[in-house]
Amino acid sequence: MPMTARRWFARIVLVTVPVAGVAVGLMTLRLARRADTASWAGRDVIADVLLMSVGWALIIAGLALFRRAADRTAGVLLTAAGFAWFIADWDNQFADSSIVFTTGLVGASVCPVLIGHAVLRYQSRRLNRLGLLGVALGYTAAVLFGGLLPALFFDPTAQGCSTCARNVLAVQSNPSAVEVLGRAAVLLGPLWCALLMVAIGWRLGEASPAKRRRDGPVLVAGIGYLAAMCGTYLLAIGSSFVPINPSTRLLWLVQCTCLLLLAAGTGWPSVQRARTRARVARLVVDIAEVPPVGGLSTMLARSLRDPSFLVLYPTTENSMVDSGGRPATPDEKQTHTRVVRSGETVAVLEHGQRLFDDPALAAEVTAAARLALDNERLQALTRAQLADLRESRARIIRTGDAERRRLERDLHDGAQQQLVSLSLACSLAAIRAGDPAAAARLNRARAEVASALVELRAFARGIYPAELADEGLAAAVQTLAEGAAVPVTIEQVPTRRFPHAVEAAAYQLLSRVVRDSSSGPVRITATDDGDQLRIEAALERAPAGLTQLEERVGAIGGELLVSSTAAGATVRAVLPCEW
Amino acid sequence: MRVVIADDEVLLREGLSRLLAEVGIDVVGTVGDAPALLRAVALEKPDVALVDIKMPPTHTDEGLTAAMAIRDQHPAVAVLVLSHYLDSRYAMQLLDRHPGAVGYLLKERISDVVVLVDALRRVGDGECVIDPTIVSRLLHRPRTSGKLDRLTDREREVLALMAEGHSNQAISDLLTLSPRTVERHIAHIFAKLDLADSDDHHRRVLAVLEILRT
Repeated sequence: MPMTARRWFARIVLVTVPVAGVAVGLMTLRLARRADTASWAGRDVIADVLLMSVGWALIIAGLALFRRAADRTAGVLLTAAGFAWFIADWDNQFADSSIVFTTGLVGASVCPVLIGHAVLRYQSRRLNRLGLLGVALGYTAAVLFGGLLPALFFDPTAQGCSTCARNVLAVQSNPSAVEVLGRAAVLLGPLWCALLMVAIGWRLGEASPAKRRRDGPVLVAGIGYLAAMCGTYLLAIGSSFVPINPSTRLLWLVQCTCLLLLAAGTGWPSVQRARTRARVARLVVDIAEVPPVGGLSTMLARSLRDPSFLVLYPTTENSMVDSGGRPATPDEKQTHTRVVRSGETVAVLEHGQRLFDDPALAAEVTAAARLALDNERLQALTRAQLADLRESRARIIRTGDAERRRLERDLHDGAQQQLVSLSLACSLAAIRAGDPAAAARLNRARAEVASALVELRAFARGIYPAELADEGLAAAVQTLAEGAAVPVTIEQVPTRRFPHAVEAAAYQLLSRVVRDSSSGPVRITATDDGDQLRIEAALERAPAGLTQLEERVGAIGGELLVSSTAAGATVRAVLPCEW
Repeated sequence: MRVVIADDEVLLREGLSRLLAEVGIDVVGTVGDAPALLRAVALEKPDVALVDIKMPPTHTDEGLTAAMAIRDQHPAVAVLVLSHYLDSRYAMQLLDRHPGAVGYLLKERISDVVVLVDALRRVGDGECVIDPTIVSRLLHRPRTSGKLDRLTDREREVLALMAEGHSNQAISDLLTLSPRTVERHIAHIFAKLDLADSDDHHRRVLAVLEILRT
C-alpha cells in the first residue's frame, strides 16, 4: 500500500473505530441494564462503569498500539477484544435485533482468546510455540465450539426464550447439540487459558530485565486476566454456559481489573521512554557542566545504571584504547555496541548483556553524549599516540644504550685485547731481535700500540663506561669524579642498581656537568626514595648544551631543572626508579 | 721467580708466558679462569700470581676476587693484578684488604717487560705496586683547595712515588737523592698532610692514596 493510502486508511480507522466503540458500548450498556439477570453488568453503577470502561479502555489501548508500526497486530487484536468484550453481553432476550443477537451468540466467548493473542503479540514479532498452540486451541474452542457451531443449532424458542430475537445462523433446532458443544467449549476453556498463561509466562521469564520492565505490566495483567477466565471456566464445568453467581461475579471483577491494568500497561513503555529521555537529558546537562575526560564512562555507567559500562575507542583495526589512551581489551563476557558514524566505528560501548535491548536508547545516549564522546575520543587517541611516541623514543634509547654497551664490550674484549697482544708480540720480538736498531724500532712500535690502547680505552669509556654497566651509578660517579675537569665532591649516591636507561641518563647528566671546566667545583647529591631518583649537582655555572640531556631525561619520564643565580647554579634531575 | 698467569685470552696468556720465559722468569702455569687459578696456586705455590682482573663469567672483577682469595689462603704467594680500569676503586679495594705483596697495574704495562718484571719482583718482595698512571690521575685531578697545595713540586714527586708503592730506598734511587733527603721530604709531606708517620710501609701507601682520592 502506498504511503499516503496507508496514512488515509489509518486516519479513517482512528476516526471510525472510536465512534463505533462508543456506539457499541452504549448499546451494550442498554442491553445489560435490561438483562441484569443474564449478565454481571447492569446490576449497579459500579458494574456499569466497569463494563463501559473496560471495553473502551481496550479499544483506546488497541488504537494507540495500532499507531505504532511494530504493534499494529497487537493493536488490532486488542481493539477487537474491546468490541468482543461488549459483544459477550449481546446474546440475551432483550436484544431486539436478530443481527445483534446472532453476533452475541457467535462472539460470546471470543474476547479472552483475543486478549491472550494480543498480549502474546505485544512488543513481539511472533508467537512462541506454546502461544501458537494456545491461540489455535482458544479460537477453536471459543469461536467454533462456543460460538459458531452451537449457533447453527440454536433456536431461541426451543431453548426457552420466546422473546429472544431470531438467530439468523440457525439451520436446525437441536438443543442437545447446543448443550454438548457448549460443554465442550467450557471443558476446553481451562486448557487453552492455561496454555496461553504459560506462553505469556514463558515470554516474561525469557525477557531481558529491560524488556521485562517494559512489557511486564501488560504480560502480568494478561496472565491475571486469563487466570480469572480459567477459574470462571472451571466453575462452569459440567454446564454449557457460565453460571451467574457470586463466585463468577467476583472473578468478573478480577477480569475487569486485570483488563484495565492491561490497557493502562500498554502506555507504560511511553512512560519509561519519557523517563529515559529525562535521564538522558540530565546526562546532557551533566556532561555540559563537567566536561568529563575519562569520566564519560563513569557518568554513563551511573546514568544507565550499569556499573560495568565502559567506553572504548578503536585506534587501528584491531586495537582499542580506554579514555586515558591506554591499550584496552574488550571484555569477552560483556556485550559491545558500536557507535558508527559515517561508516567509521568511533567508539565501542561495553555494557551488560541486555542494556540496549531498546536500540533507541543506545542511539539517544550516544546522541546526547556525542560532543563529550568526540572530545574524549580525540583525547584518548592523542594520548595513545603520545604513549606510542614515548614508547618508541624509549625503545630507541634502550636499543641505543644496549648497542653502546655491546660496542664498549666488543672494544674492550676484542680490539683492546688484541692490541695488548700485539704490543706483547712487539716486546717479545724486540727482546729476541739480535739487532739493536731493530729492537729499538720494535720498541717504538710497542709504544705506539700502547698509546693507541690509551686512546681506545678513553673512546670505549665515552661510548658506555664499563663500571656503569657492571656496577652501577655509585661506582661510575666515583670514577667520573677521578677523571673530572673540575673538583668534584660526592655527598651521596645510592649504591643500588637502577634500570640501565635511568643509570645512563643520570650518568650522562653528571658526566656533562663535571667534564665541563666552566662548571667550577661540583657537589653531587643523589637520593632515591624507591620511587624517584633525585640528582642534584650544585656548581658555579651551568654548562651550555643541556638541551640534549633534557630530551634524554624526558624520554624516560624524568624532569631536568636548571636554575642559575649569581651565587651559583643547580642542576636537578628527577628520574623514575622503575622504567 | 715462579709465576702463574691467569688470563682468559689464550693468545695473550701464551704471549705473556713466552715473554716472561724470555727474561728468565719461570712460568709454572697458565690458566683461563678463577677456579683454575686457585687450583694452580694451591698446586704450584708460585712466588707471584699474575692475574687479569676480567675473567669469566661476568668479565668484571672476578680476577680481583680471586687475587684476594689467594692472598687470604696463601700468604706466601704475592699477587699482581692486571686491570683495564683507570680509576682507583679496585686498587683501593685490593690494598684495603691486603696492603702488602699485592700490585695493581694497567694491562698495557705487560708489554713493557722492564716495568712488568720490576713489578713482579717488588710484589714478590712483599712490597705493593700501584700503576703510575692511576697515581698520576689522582694527583692531578682538580681540587677545590687543600693540603696538597701546601706541597712543593719535589714533595709532590716524592708523594707520587710513595703512592706507587716505592720504598724510601727506591725513591732515592729514582730521584737520585740521598736517602736522608728523601726522609726529610717525607717528614715534611706527612706534617703538611697531617698524617701520622707510620713505620708500616704498606699502611703509609694506603694513607697517601686515601689522601689523593679525596
